[in-house]
Amino acid sequence: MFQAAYSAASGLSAQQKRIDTIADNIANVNSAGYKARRTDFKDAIYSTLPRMVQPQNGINMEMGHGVIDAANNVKYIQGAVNITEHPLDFCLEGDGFFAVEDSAGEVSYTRGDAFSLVLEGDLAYLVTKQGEFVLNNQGERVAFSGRAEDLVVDGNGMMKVRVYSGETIPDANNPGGVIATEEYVDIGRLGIYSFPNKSGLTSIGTGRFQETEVSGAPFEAESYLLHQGALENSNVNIAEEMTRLIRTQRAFQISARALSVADQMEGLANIIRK
Amino acid sequence: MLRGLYITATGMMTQRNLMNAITNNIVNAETVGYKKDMMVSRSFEDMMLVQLKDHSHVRQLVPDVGPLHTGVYVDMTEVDYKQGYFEQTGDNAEMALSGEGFFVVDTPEGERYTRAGNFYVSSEGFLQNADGYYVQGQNGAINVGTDNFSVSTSGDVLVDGAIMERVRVVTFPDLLDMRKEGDNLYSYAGAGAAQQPVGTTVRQGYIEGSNVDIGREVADMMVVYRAYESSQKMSTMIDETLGKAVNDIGRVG
Repeated sequence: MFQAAYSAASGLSAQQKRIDTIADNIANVNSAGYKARRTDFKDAIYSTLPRMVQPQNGINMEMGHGVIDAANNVKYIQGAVNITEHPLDFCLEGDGFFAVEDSAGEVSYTRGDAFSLVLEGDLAYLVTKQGEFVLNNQGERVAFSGRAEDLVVDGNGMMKVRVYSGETIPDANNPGGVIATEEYVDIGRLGIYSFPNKSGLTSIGTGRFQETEVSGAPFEAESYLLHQGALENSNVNIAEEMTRLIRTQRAFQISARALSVADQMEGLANIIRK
Repeated sequence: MLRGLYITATGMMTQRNLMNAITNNIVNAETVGYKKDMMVSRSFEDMMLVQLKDHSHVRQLVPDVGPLHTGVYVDMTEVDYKQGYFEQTGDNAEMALSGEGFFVVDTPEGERYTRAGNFYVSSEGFLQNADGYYVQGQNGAINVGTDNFSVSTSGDVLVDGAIMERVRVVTFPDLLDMRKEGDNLYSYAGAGAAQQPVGTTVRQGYIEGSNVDIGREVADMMVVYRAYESSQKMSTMIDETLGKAVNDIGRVG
């Protein structure tokens, strides 16, 4: 078969991969903290055609051999912040990831989630839906004694717990009485980390990313604003994805057309002598 | 008549190569910074046909019949450096060039040039292209640290508001001497050194799409297909005529 057929086939397979990526993005349009991916292409190798007249060298006779998918990178563009007012929902605006540790001690990173509390004795541990522990900036599991409503986190990730002290004052409207004083106790800072090369992180599903050699080591992020009582929506831009889908689908179709024309040309060559 | 068979064969071979180039354009219609290839075909030099063993012309010893082309060949591949469209990505590390010129990347084979600005910041904080080659500034690789930097339209790289490097953008005296190497890279095979292009701007947060016009390619594909078909028909006709000459002339009864 001739080169055009193979080039067309490479186009079909590359465009197919991009359609897969787009489908994945569109399917996750409502997944909190999801980051869209983009498939990029590069042209494949070139070979030099022989030139049948003089001069035989020094003239551009390069012929391309199709296309390869070059990169499938996550784009860490900010997603919209969705206010939930639930005290254990956290999200980040700007750079950074929460560090979470599973029961086996494996650390992964996430852009935020609806966290919950797990009680162990007096201590309430901040955990994710999958039961991973959220870490503070010392790499320790975040724990405090109190209720979910008592945890207050500011924009820089500084955590405070509301503590009630003093006498309860009897109150006609409140059988338990009202609390005389409340104060806020510092319990450290949430661990918000960033990476030199975020595209190098491995996505392990459920909005979790893991550090790799390519991503570099995590460092404490600086340029972020932490929102308590909010979740980050997926950063998938449906209009952009649909536009890219249409373009990719056309490119796929026309690659298929080129393959069919290449095949017809082979057919013609085959019937020169019937 | 045998010569005709060979001429139609060169036609078919050339159309196949044109088809290869068109297909390559089509499949790269979504490739970052891809520039369209155009194969130029050309007829072989004319040759003068003369009559031999013809004694009807007394005065002229070898009378002319007239010029004849002996077929067609691929003369060269021309790259169309027309600007591709801009696609906004919002990614700080990605850039597109508006106007003439190329980014410079450092590969094991030496410096290579590219229009594909889908860069990223490596784990060591350097700007790299999609294949991991270092993007070059005026003083070598560009260390931006994190993706929190900005690039001005003139190519100045600003980290924390201070200019720390300038992205190197080059062009060459004769773009016909640029050679595509694959992986969105070009090398320069001609004479003369790299120059700074005039009026080229760098757009941060954009990538340049391919400049292939799918409609045009499909039209070209149809033209090539029909030309190929005609050459094939000619081959068949010549073959049939030869068949007559060989088998039917002189047949008795």
